[in-house]
Amino acid sequence: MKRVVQLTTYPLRSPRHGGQLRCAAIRARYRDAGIDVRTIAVMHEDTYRGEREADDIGLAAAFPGWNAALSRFTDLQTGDALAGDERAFREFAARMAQAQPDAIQLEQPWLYPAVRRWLDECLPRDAARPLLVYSSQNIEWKLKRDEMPAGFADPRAYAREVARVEALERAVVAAADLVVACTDEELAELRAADASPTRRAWVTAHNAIAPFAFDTERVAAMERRLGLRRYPLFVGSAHPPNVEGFWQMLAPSLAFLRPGEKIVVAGGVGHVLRQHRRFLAWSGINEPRLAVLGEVPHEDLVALLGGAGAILLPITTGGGSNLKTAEAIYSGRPVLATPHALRGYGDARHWPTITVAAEADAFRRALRALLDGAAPEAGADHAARREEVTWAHALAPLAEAIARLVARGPARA
Amino acid sequence: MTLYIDLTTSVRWRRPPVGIVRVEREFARHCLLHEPGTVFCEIDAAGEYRVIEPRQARVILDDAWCRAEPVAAIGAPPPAPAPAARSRVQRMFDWLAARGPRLVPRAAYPLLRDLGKVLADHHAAFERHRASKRALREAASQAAPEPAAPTAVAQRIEPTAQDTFYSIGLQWHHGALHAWHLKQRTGVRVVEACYDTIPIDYPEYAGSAKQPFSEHFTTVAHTADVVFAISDTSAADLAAFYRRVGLWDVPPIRSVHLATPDVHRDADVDALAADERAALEALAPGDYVLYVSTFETRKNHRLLLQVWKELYRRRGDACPRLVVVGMFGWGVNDLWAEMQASEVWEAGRIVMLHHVSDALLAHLYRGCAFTVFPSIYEGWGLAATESLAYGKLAIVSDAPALREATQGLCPAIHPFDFPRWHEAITRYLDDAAARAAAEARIRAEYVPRHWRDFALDLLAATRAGA
Repeated sequence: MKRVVQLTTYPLRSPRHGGQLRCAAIRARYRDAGIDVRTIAVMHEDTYRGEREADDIGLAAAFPGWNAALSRFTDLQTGDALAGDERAFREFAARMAQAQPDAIQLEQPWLYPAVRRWLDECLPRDAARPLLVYSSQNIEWKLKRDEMPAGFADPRAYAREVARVEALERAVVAAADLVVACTDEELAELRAADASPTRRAWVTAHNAIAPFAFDTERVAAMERRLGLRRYPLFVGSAHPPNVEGFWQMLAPSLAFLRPGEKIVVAGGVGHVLRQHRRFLAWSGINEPRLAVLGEVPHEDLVALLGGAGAILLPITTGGGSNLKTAEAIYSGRPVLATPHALRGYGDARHWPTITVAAEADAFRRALRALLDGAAPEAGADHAARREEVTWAHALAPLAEAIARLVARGPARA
Repeated sequence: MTLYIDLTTSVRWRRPPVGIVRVEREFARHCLLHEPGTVFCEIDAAGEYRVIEPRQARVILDDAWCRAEPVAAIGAPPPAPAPAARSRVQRMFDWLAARGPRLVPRAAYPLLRDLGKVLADHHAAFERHRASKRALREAASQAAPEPAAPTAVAQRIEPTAQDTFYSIGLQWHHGALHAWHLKQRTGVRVVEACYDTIPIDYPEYAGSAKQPFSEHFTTVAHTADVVFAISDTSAADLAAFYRRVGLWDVPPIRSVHLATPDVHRDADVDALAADERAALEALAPGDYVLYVSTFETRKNHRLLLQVWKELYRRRGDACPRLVVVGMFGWGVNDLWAEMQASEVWEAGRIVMLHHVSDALLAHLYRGCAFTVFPSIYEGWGLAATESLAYGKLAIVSDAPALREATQGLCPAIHPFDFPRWHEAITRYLDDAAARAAAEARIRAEYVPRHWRDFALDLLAATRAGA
């Protein structure tokens, strides 16, 4: 049996956010394909307590490389700590020696410095060099660049870190035997930036979801609980692009919603929405038009999707492709999305349940029309088409690529 | 087609009416007399509009419903109030406070003191509640048939989509949401009002009212078939607010200018109450300037204080009085302290009058040299039009609504332009001929509006298909 070590910066025991869900789905898909996958998640010792698996590594807070002033780069600092902290690196090397991987799959580029050091220092001279898979989730350096907080105190330091991220991504791509991206556009961008003559494999594995089904009883119970019917639904984490996108597309205010109408907000984004300057500018109008639920269990989320009159995907920035988009498309409920939110989902914009609006004014008018008009029907072929956004479908090309790769064995010694 | 009029504001207002209350009352009076079948109603505690019988409506719309309290003149330091009697509970905690450190550990003393305050406050509240219940019982047993407030058992109104419902009072106090629910339930045409958007556009002069007002006017946008605005200025401001918050589907906004307040030409000094006569006799006719307005930051009394300080410095005892008529408002503590500490106040050249009846106000208008209205922003400026109705010159700020209300007949000066205000006030104090010329122009050109004109215009502007 072929062995793959999967390296992440978050544990996969209880996946919640997009990165965790994707990595857990890849792991499951590999295992289904008969590959022995061992995940090593590396993170600051104060994070994800109680969620770690046996091979995961907590990094000491005492490592001098942590820089709270550059908190957007904690993942980059995690890679520095694993490669630079001797105790952590020894722990990592021990895990790798035990695993004896045929392939190492880096989920995002952050832990590559430690992998390179391990390959240089710890791999016996006569041992076959494991294959390297770079599984990207975004063009990270662009994402970091675009996320610089307004009025950041030290923009030059921030720019330096962005440049480090860019160099790291290029290095990982140059060293990889297989490069995986979430969208065709990002795969093309990574490919264009690859200046080395080495041949490597390239594959797109879209983000997707696990199938789910609506329970009409649960949907009705949720509507009763909320006291709402045909409500707009926004689901998201507290990730800054979620907040920015929401207010960019729904500002200047939620006044276009009638008394009693509310946007139901599930996930960590809700509380952050209320701290945004656009919320505060017209808080008297916005507050009664939001029903902020916080994080909800999966079965409640499915019930919320089932009752939604419009699932909102107001995403305007950020890389990769959005799991929430897949969830919305799969649901068959009406979806209102920006073009950006649909990246990576091919011709989904033409599906009858999906409305696309690129500008704030058009977005708000489209939402009003969705709430006032008859709900668009999903169409007879929806049941078949929605399978395209399940992990089983989305990860098939990756499973084939990894199978080919590990069957071929190390390309270079 | 039946008219329904929300009288909630008038039912609850038992003081001399301010502008908005007067608008609701005058429109309702007109409809009571001239629009047979008009149904009056009030919101109950559950948010339902309940019918007020015509007999009750007549009582509510009678002047007696808004009785004036005794006039209060403030122009000298008030006597120190007598210490209030301490209740038994309070006395017990006074005793504990004195002995506390000896009876309980010192560390527990603050807790005991706080507990004492809570208990004393609760006890005092209970005493007040018991006293008010007793007073109500006694009043009920002695009272005349009036005042007959509507009762909760009255029928809820059942208008149809062909009827028109007017809610034009202090709607934000009792909630525009009730009109929204009525509209959803019955489909009735709804007319709501915009007096101004000052709490939104000038939140610095409106406490924390910006957000509640934003929500209020948003609810109005979703409810009303027509919004009536009291001036073109207010209509434009409301339209601008709707654009600012991104509302595109809004009802038509129609301007209907308010009426000029009634002139009480026949008010007789002998008919005034003793306290009112005393207040009036303290003022020499022609030797004071009048400002009728709530005492609050936006009304810009600060400018007048500075002008009067300067006048007093230059003229000493020959300085005319400034008479300020109006309620105490919000955000003027510093100004009030500054005013009381000033020499011009000490010399009695500024007088403040509260709870002024229409009759006394008529005498004040007739006796003043002219009026001033330096307010920073207005939705209309009822008092400025009132001044013109009495034939008195008003020096006003150049706020657009004030120009609109005074029909361009008054000097208009930027509210922060102290030199020009000082110059204009000095000029019209000293130049009797200029004053007379200004008054002659007002008498010749000012077109007063009557409440009947206002009511007919409002009915016309809000009629279906208008």
